[in-house]
Amino acid sequence: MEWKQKDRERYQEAKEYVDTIFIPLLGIDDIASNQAQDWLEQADAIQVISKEIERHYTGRVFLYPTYTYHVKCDYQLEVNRLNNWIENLKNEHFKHVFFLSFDPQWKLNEKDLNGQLLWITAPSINEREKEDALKVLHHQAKLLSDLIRTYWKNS
Amino acid sequence: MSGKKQPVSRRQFLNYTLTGVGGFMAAGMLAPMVRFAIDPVLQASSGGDLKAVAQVDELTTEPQRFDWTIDQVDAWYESEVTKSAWVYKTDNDEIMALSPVCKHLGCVVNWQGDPDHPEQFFCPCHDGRYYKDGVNVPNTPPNAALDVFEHEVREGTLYLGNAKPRGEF
Repeated sequence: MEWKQKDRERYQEAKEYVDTIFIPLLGIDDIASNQAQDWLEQADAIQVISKEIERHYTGRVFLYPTYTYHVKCDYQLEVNRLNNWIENLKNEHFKHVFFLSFDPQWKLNEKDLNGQLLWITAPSINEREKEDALKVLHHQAKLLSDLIRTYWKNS
Repeated sequence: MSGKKQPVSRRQFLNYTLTGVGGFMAAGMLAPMVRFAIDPVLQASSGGDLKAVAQVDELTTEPQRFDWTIDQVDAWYESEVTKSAWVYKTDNDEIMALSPVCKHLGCVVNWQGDPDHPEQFFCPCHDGRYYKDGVNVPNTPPNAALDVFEHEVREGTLYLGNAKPRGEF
């Protein structure tokens, strides 16, 4: 399920089955900067992967809107804000929290995060080779889904 | 104005015009009613667009997963949505295309997803299971069989349409 009107009702009916929060983390930068292309590619990729994971596990995972931050931020501050988010989003049914990011800065601050960080390297994808890119992204989503399942199994 | 130059009498003229106008009015009332009555016949089939998904000679008796994408309008936002199907040939050589969407809460089920139950579909979310023909295993969370895709074979290519619940065939 995701942050959409149609899913609110579904959630109400099935909340005891939905025990996992999923939040993608997305860095943005000045569109004129030299690194903007990288961040733009990541924006597309994170969208596709998150959606695909939501599709696999729609009855158990709740996908919240992407948390967006500026890449020149103070990550320690962002970690605090995220933990605050989680504090307020979590209810008695949610037992697992996952973040998805390509940004290594989160990896460095992982221990302070109140949830599991799924950090993967960003695939270099090109809009013109959409078919191939989708295959790669769906494969990554599949692997991440399997990883999430092992967390469920071990809890 | 002599009678000979007027083959249409006043009475005939009024008759013709009244019949004409009355006819139009009656047609105006009847046409929508007739259209309404035969509407189901004119309805375009709700089969939706069929999508080429696989080549028939790729299919085996073992379920294989095929993915394709469709454009979906969600409220006012149009997006590309990935769809999947588990397709296999039954023992009678018929094509079976099962929707992978679990009837419990909509997760995607996998063929042989649980090592403890080979020869079954398995839902990783809440351990729902289905037999190979898509019927739910009793005492697991789902309470209905997997939906079945409408399918069509044209020149060796398998096309799939909408997934429909059992009993609507």
